[in-house]
Amino acid sequence: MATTLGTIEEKPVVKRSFSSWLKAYKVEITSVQEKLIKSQHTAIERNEEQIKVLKERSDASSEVIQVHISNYQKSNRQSREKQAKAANILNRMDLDEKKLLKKLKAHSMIQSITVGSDGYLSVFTKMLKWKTTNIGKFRICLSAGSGLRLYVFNLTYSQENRLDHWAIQHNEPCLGEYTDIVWDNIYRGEIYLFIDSMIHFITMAGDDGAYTDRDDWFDERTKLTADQAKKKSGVSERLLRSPRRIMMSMNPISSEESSFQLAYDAYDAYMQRTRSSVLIEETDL
Amino acid sequence: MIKANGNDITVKIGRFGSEAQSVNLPKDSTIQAALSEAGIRLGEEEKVWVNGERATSRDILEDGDVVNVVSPKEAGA
Repeated sequence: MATTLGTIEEKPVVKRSFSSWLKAYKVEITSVQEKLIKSQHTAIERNEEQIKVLKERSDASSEVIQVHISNYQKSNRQSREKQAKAANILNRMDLDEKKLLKKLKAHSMIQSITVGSDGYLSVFTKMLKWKTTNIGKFRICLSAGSGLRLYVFNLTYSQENRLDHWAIQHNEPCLGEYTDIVWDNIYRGEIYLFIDSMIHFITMAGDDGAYTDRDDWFDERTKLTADQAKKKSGVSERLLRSPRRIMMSMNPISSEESSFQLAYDAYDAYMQRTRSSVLIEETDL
Repeated sequence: MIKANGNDITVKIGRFGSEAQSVNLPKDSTIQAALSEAGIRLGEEEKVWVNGERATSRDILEDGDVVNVVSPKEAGA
């Protein structure tokens, strides 16, 4: 867009709907499955060639050659199974927009769903817990249209240089044993199961090989909560020196909940300021 | 999907590590019935979730429900 000196450049705002996101997503996974079918077809052809060559050899009846032929045939059977599965996914793909939205909205851990002009589907969760302790409200994002990319944001307990979760750094989840579960669901068009599995990953994942120990993350979170509570605007120094007064004025379930609420309010205000620069335009669904 | 009568329901069952499958059941079927129909026998560590809530095998399913059979896993490399 043309820019004139002295005026602010206005970027065109492209509103995206859930239906357009689904369409882009369907194109992405169709392309992935078609590539898989094609690559398996190439592998089968190559194996058939090899089998033909082996059968034409003078020692074709020897045990060694027969083992080779058998291995190529086995490989071809597996390739055909993969092809059939991929074709089945394409035929069965059920991405009914209304049904999917209804199901997602009925999920007890999901607060809202939006599609940004950046092409990301964002699922905002309610406050998630590890056993009984709050670990934050999260935003799970999946892009479609220019490659499938997955990001997870902790909207409650996060700050620069701190982990969003013991297995999420710079908004990128370190899925570990959840990798196949999550990405299989994405590639099979199982959006609901993908979101549900991501919520289970956030609330249940062990920390073996994660970015940090879960206990260490909880310690960091507690420090962050305290820092955010101190910075909370509108809370006087006198009140900060008297934590009991804060708790009495908050009227929440427990003292831990009250400091979380303080931290959340402060962070929420911060996110409101920064989100507008991250997401130009969002469509509530 | 061919429905035997107007009272049938269709639910989807996902299980960590397995391909999701849809099963057709009579109305008011339990989760146990759905799992049996899908040939799933719950392992010791596996828990059942429906619509984001923990469910027991005796809970009744509704048409369109998605059952996720979940087991604890490790994050990380």
